[in-house]
Amino acid sequence: MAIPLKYNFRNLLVRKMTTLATAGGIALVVVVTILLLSLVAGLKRMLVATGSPNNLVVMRKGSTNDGSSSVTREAVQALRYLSGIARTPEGEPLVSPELINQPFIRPKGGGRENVLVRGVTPTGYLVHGNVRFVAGRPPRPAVGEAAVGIAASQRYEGAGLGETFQFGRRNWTVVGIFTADGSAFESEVWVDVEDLFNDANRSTYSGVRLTVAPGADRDALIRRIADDPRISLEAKPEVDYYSEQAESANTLYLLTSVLALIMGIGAIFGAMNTMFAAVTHRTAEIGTLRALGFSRGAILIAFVRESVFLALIGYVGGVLLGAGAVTVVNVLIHGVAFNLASFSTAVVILRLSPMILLISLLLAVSMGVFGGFLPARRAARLRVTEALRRA
Amino acid sequence: MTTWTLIWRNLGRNRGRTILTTLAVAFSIFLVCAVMTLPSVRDSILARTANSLRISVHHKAGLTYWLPLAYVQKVRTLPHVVGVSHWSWFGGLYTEPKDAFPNFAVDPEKVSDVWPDIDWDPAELEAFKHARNGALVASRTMAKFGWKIGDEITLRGTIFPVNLTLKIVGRIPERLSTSLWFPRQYFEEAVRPGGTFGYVGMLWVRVDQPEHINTVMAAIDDLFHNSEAETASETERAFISNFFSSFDGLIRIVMLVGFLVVAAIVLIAANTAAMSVRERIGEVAVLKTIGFRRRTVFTLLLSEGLVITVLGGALGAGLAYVILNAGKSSWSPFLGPMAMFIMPVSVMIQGLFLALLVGILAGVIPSRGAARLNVAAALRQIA
Repeated sequence: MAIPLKYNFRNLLVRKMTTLATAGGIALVVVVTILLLSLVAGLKRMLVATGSPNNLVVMRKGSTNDGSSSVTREAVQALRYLSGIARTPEGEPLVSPELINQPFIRPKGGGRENVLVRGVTPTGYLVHGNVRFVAGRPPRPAVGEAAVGIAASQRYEGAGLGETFQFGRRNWTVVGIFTADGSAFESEVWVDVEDLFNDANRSTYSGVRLTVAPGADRDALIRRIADDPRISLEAKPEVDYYSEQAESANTLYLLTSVLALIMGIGAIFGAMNTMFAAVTHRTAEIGTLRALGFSRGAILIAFVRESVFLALIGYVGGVLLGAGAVTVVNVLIHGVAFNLASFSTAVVILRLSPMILLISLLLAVSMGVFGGFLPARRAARLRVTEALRRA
Repeated sequence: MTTWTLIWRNLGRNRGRTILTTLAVAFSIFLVCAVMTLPSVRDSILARTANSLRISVHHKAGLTYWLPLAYVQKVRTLPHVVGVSHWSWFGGLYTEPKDAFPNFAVDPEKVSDVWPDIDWDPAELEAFKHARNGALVASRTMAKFGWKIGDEITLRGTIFPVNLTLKIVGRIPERLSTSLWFPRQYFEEAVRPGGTFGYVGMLWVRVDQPEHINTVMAAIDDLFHNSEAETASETERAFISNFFSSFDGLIRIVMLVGFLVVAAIVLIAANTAAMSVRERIGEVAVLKTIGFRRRTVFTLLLSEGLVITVLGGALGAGLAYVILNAGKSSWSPFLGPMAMFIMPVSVMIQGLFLALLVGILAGVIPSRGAARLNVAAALRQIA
C-alpha cells in the first residue's frame, strides 16, 4: 500500500522554514537556468532567424562574412542574368547587392558603438522577405534617408522615426522602422546603397543576397556561381551562412550550460541535506509506518516524492521570478547588447520558451530525485525495532 | 577541551551534512569565481593602461574606416611624440572563424618605441625587424595552436583575397594578449603587388610625459581637421574601455547570475545551520547551564558554519583557479578577450571573502537564536 500524498504535504508544511529555504535554493537555480537559457535562445534566434532558406549569400571566395567580402559591380551584373533566380512580376531579378559598413553610432547612454549599416537597393526589401516596416517607409535614394531596425531605434540617440542622427560623414533622417523576426537585422541601420558608397568612399559591394526561383535547383545555382570564370565568388544558403556565424557563439552556449549544471549540483547537495534531516527527525515515525505495514518500497517512494514536491515548489517560485527577470531585461533595458563576430553590436532579446520551462522543470525534478534518493534509501532501510526504540 | 576541538567534534558529528554543505558551497564559489573572471579580464586589461602614455588615433567615423599611411609621418613631427606605430587589421584565419584571433600588420621598426612597457626579448625583436615575413605571436595563441618559434604558418585572408605565409620569429610576452603581428611591408606586397595600399587601420602614438597627452591628442585631431579622413584620438584607456563597452550587457547578466548563486548558497547554508542548531537545543541548554556565556555559545555555533563555508570556499576558489588557468581557452568572437578566462588571484580572494560572508549571513540568525535560548524552557522541552 502506498503512503498517502497528504503525509508529504503535511510534512513540508510542518517544517516551514526548512521547506522555504530549500525550495528557495532550488528556485534560484531555476531562475539562473531560465535567464541563461533565454539569453542563449535569443542569441540563437537572432543568428539563425536572420537567414531565409530560399536566399543565397554571395561573397568573394574565402570571405567568412559579408562585412569582409567585396564584389565588383561587373560581378553583380553577371549574377543578375544567371538562371534559377527568382524575379518580380515586372521581370526584375531578386538580386540584392549590398554594402556593409560599421561606423560609430552614439547609444542613448553615451559612448560609441560599431553598428552594422547596410546599404541596399529597393530590391533588397523584396529579397529580405522577413523585413517588415512597422512605421514609415523604405529610404529613397540620394537624400540621406535611413530605415532603422526596431532594436537599433530603441538603442541609439536620435534613431526614432522622424529624428536625425549622425554617422559616417553626414546626418541621416530616419524614415522607417522595421522588424525582422527577431533577427540581427533588427540591430542594423539600412540606407540607400549609393548613399553609403559616397559616405564610405567605397566602390565595390560587400556581398550579394539573392532569392532562388521557386522550383529551381538551389545547389545547381550555387555550383554555377562557383564555376563562373568571370567572377571569383562563392554562394551559400543564407541559413548555412548564419548558422556558421552562430558557431562562434558556441563558447557561450557551453559556458551557460556548464554554469546551470554546476549550480544544479550545488543545489542537489542542499536538497540532500534537508531530506537527510527530515529522515533523522522522523525515525520514530518511519518505524511506526513500517509497523503499520507500509513496505520499504512505499517509504522509499514517499521520501523521494516529498523531495520532488519540495523541488516543484522551488520550480514554481523560480519560474515566476525567472519570467519576471526576463521581462525586466526585455522591457526596461530593451535586451542585452552583444558584440558579434563582425565586431558590430547587436541587441539580444531574451526568449523564454516552453522548451526552456521544460528543461528547467527536468532540472528541478532531478534535483528533487537525486537529493531525495539517498535519504529515502536510508529511511527505507531503517529496522523497525530500532526505529521504534528511538521514539 | 578547547573551543576549536568542540567545533571540530561538532562538525564531525553529522559528517554527511558537513560534507554535503561544504560541497554545495564549493560548487557555488567555483561558479562565482568563474563568473567574476569575465569582468576581471577586462579590468586587468584596463588597469594595465592606467599609466599608459599611448594614444590611439582612428578615423572619426569608425574603426572600419582607413586612415592614409601618410598620417604616420605627419604625426611623427609633432612635439612631445616619442614614437608612432600603426595597426592594420588583416582579419586572417588560421583555422575556423570560431578560432579567430586578432592579427595586425605593424611597423616592426617602431615596436619598441611605442611599446617599451612590454618585456620584449631584444633578439626576437631584432629578428622581427629583419625577417620579411616574420611574425610575433602572443604566447597564449602559440599554446592554443601548438606553435613554436621557427614554425611557418599560413593565415587565410578574409578581408583581403590573399593568404599570408608567416614565419614565427618571437613572442608578444603579454599574458593578456592573443594577437599576431607581422610586418607592414609584407602586407603591402601581398595586398597590392607592385603598387601601394597606402592606408592603415589606426595609429598608436606614444608621448613623452603624461601631462602632454591631451595636448598631443588635440594637436593630432586639429592637424587632420577638414581633411579627407578626420581623426578621433583617445587615450589607450578610453579606447580599450570603449571596446569593452559592447560587452557591458553580457557582463551585467553574468554578474546577476553570480549574485543569484550567492543568494542560493546563503539559503542552503542557513538551512544547514538552522537544522544543526535545532537538533542541539538540549545541548546548548546544557552548555549554558554549566556556565558557558551567551557570547561563547554564539561564537561556537557561528564558527561551525564559518568553518564549513570557508572550507567550501577555499575548495571552490582553489579549484577554479587551477582549472580555469590550466585551460587553453582563448580569444573568442563573442566574448572577445574575456573568453581567455585568466583568473587572477584577486578573484580567488574575493571568492574566499564571499564564502566568509555567506557563512556569517547564514549563521547569524540561528546562532543568535540558540545563544539567547531560555535555558529553563529548553531543558523542559527535552526532558
